Amino acid sequence: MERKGIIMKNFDDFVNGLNQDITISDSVNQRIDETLQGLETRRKHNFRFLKAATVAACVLLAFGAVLVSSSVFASDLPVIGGIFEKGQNKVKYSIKVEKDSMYADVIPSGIMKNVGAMFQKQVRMSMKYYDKYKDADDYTRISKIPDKYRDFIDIAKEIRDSDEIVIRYPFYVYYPGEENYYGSIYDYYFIAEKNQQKLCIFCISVNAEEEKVRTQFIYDKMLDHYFSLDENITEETLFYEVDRSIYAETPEKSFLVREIYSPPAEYIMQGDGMYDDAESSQFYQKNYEEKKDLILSYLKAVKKGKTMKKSGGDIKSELKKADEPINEEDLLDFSMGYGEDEDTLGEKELDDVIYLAVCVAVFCILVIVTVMYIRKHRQD
Amino acid sequence: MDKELVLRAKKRDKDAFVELINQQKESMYKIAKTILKKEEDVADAMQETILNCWEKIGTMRKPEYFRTWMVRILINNCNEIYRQRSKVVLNNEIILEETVDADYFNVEWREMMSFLNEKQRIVVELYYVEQFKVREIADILQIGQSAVKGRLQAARKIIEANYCTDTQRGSIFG
Repeated sequence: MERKGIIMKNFDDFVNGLNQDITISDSVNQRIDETLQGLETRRKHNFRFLKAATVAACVLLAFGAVLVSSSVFASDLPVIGGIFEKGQNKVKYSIKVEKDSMYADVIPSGIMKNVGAMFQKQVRMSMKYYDKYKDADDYTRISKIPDKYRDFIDIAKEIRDSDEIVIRYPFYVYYPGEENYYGSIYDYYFIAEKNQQKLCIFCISVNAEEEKVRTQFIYDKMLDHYFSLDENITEETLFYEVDRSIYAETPEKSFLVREIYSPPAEYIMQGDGMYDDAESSQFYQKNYEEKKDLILSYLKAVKKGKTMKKSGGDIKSELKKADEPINEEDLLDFSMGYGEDEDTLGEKELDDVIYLAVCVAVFCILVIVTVMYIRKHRQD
Repeated sequence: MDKELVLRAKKRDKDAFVELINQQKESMYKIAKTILKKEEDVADAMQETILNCWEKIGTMRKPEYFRTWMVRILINNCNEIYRQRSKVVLNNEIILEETVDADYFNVEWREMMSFLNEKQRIVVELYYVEQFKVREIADILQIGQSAVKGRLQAARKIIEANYCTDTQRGSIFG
């Protein structure tokens, strides 16, 4: 008991000792005084910093908004231009389909309804290949980019967000006698205009030669370049091929729109009738109305046929699928660009993910740098 | 502590705030000293605490808890500085000789604190010197009340044990 009492007494002494006043050292006192004197300055400093940070954030936000809304301008900027160059390839341009020719009624409705979406998909895929291989050498480009996109890249590059694309003057180039000899591939042509100027001629081809009906977008650079459409196309212009040349004909006149090179040797040798000069000549002798009736009747029959019904379903399923991923294989080794995409359709588009990841990373870095900057200032 | 002063300080009255700090600075110094040894570090911690309090005092809800609130900020700042200093020592592989302020630790009853570890020291300081309640200390240190009591008990035992030895030798407290 005695020991405990002593201990308790002494612990109280210890506590009393701890409670004695102590002298704060001069250096600490001086710092406290300085801090208290500088309170207002510090607060103003903070306000100034916050104001500056807010203004900077607003400017950055506004600048970002301008860049996003005008990716054409943004893509020209150094360093960050590359990010926006990708962005400008997203479908933002307007697209409209005009049924301003007599062919519009005899072209399968599945094609007329979806030609705009097919054009957009073609632009999108072509630009993805362009982005990936734009710095590659010629051999790599030829070997890696499928034909159907490679030629179209020059067209797709011309399209900007602000552009108005109008797909118009649908037409069909009739081969005399094709209903008898060549009735399994149908190419429906369209003219794409960009801001009222001709952009290109392309076709939607329906191929029923194999078991499965396949509909695809085809762009032929040669045909596009050498298809002279100096003459105005009207709603009633007919198109047909005679004597290895394509003609356009209105009730008033007919004119050559493209001179075709010599027929492939195998056709001449096999004599399959495709280039039957007699039949062509016979067709050419007909007047405009006779030609028109013959062609439109034929196309109406084609439209009602099973092939075109199947084709409508094929287009819809193709468009519903996500874009095919860019093919990394060397096309020259195997397929020369044909049949490269059937197995890979519908997979997740890697490029979009990378693009998104880059944007998120840039944003995160900006946030982290800003937070670090603010914290550093607060510590100061 | 004057509640009126706190209310005025909340309204950005600089004079009131300065007076509040002057009232509390000795407590602040003692608490900071239980964690940090170097005067320069103590000054840094106090300065940061004063600035934090001035910036945030408007957000404090209950004026009666000003002291608790301020001590919590102070301890956080001390811990932060303690951690930074520890890192510097580890990174540079320099073993710094502990520069103990002579005037401060030459007082024998403060020497007794050196028998305690940092966690026990701060609890003893807050309980016996600053007169905080166990619940308040638990709140300041963000630990449970039982942990506070445990540390106080352990600290007391250590002090008593060491003090007894000293007493038998002819202690300073004799």
